[in-house]
Order: sequence, then structure tokens, then C-alpha cells
Amino acid sequence: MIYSDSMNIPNRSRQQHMLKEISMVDFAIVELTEYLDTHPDDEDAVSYIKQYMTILRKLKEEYASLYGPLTLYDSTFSTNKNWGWAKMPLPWEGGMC
Amino acid sequence: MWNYEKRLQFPIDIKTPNAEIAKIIITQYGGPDGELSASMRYLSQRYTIPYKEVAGLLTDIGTEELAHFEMIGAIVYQLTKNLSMEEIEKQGFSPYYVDHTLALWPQAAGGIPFNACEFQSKGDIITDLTEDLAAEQKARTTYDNILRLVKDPDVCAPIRFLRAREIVHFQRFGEALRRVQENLDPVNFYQYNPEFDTNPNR
Repeated sequence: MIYSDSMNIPNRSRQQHMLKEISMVDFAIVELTEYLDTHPDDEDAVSYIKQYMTILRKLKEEYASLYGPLTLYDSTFSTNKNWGWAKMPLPWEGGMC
Repeated sequence: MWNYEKRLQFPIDIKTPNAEIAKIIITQYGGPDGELSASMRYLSQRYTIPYKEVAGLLTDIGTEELAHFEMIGAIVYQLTKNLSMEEIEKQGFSPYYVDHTLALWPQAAGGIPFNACEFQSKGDIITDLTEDLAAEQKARTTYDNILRLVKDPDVCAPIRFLRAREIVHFQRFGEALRRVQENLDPVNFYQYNPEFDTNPNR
């Protein structure tokens, strides 16, 4: 039911909200990764990226358990007994991050 | 190797299809200063670079450019989804439609196909990083030009995000070039090519 196209609206908007949070945290990690490539000794940046990585792992685990895996490796967090990976919505279809 | 994530780097949800705009934005899919060129440029240059942190930066930015390539694909796809035959004809999309229907194909706004000659991988780190700095600026100008032509806020938001990334990457490449030059002879940066002349057999 989680993967169905007929997801009810409140559920879908919560899913979108969670996906937005994941995107925001992941963006901070992308930005910090590139920054650390040219500033590898910046201890503040290292502590920021570690903090965001912990948050991201928790968010992805929670997302996967509710809506299915965003990456193949999140599949283990999915509570659905079916193989969720192939049934996840396609990112370019709009409405989702 | 790479790991695919089933989400876009920045949300794209375009409510109004517009083939006129799609024809312009496709230039960042397969045009001279587009995201495909950017990604292939950085991911090709990195192998022969003798500085680990610079090769790492090219890998990380080249990877982010793949996510941008996907974002541009999503924008063009959503702008052309569900077009009627009448809209295809009226909005000047017929020449593209006849070759590709509504599928994505890397080309410039003027219809010129994607071509590896749009970027260089020269095997000289100063040359390549200077090209990379220019590439980020050329892409930034293209996004500025797109923002002058496009009014739909659903399209402008992701384009503004991409424009901002060009500026950040320009900054990072500038820092990388400075780090490289710190390792070279300050009297003559060009005394030898660190990607070639360090092999004792030459």
C-alpha cells in the first residue's frame, strides 16, 4: 500500500516533507564534502559534516521504514516484506525531491 | 563506482508544460556549457592528476554534475510531458519531435548534438583547472541568460539553485589551483608538467 500511486494526500505531503528534509541535510553534506576537499584541516567543518551524516542516516532509516528505500542500501531499513526498490516513485515525475 | 539515489538533488515540480522554454533549457543537458560536458570533463581529467585532494575534488564535483544533469533532464521532461500535437506545432517543437518524439537527447538549444569537443582533458593540471574555472563561469552565464528568458517560478527555482552551484564550484577550483601552485616552483609554475614530467624515464 505504501508504494501505491493512490497514496492519500496527508500521507503524501508528510512523505514530501521528509524527502525535503533529507535533501536539505544531504545538500549540506555535498557542500561540506567539496569544501573539505580544499580545506581538509578545518576541524569545524569536519565536526559539522559528521553531525549532518548522523542526522541523514537517521532520516533515511525512518524514511525507508515508512515509504521504502531511496538507495538500494536503504532496503534493509524497509519494513515492507516486498522488494521495495523497484517500486519506488521515479524522481523526475514531479512532486518529489 | 557510483550509488544511485531515487530522488533529485533539488525538487522539480513544473505544473505548466512549455515547449518553448524546454527548447532553451535543453542546452544545459547537452550543450557546450551544459551539465553533461561538466561531468565528463571533471571525471575524465582526474585520472592523471598527481594530487590526491584535487583528483578527489574533481570526482566529487563531477558526481554532483551528474545530479544536475538529471535535474535538467527532469525540467525538460516535465516541460514537454503531455503536450498536445497542436502545442508541439505552435510552440516550435516539431523539429525536435520528429527526431526524438518526447524523449530526452543531449543537444544544444540550436540543435547541435552533444560532442566531446565541448570540453578538454589536457593532461596538464594548470591548464585543466583553468578550463574548469572557465567552464563554471560559462555555465553561470548560461543560467543568467535562461533566467532572463524564463518567468515560470517552478522553473526558475531549480535554475537559480544550479546557478549558485556554478559559483561555489568556481570557488573550489580556484582553491585547488592555488594548492597546486603552492607545490610548484614559485618562480616558474610551468617549469615542468606534474602530470607528465615526474616519470624518471622521460
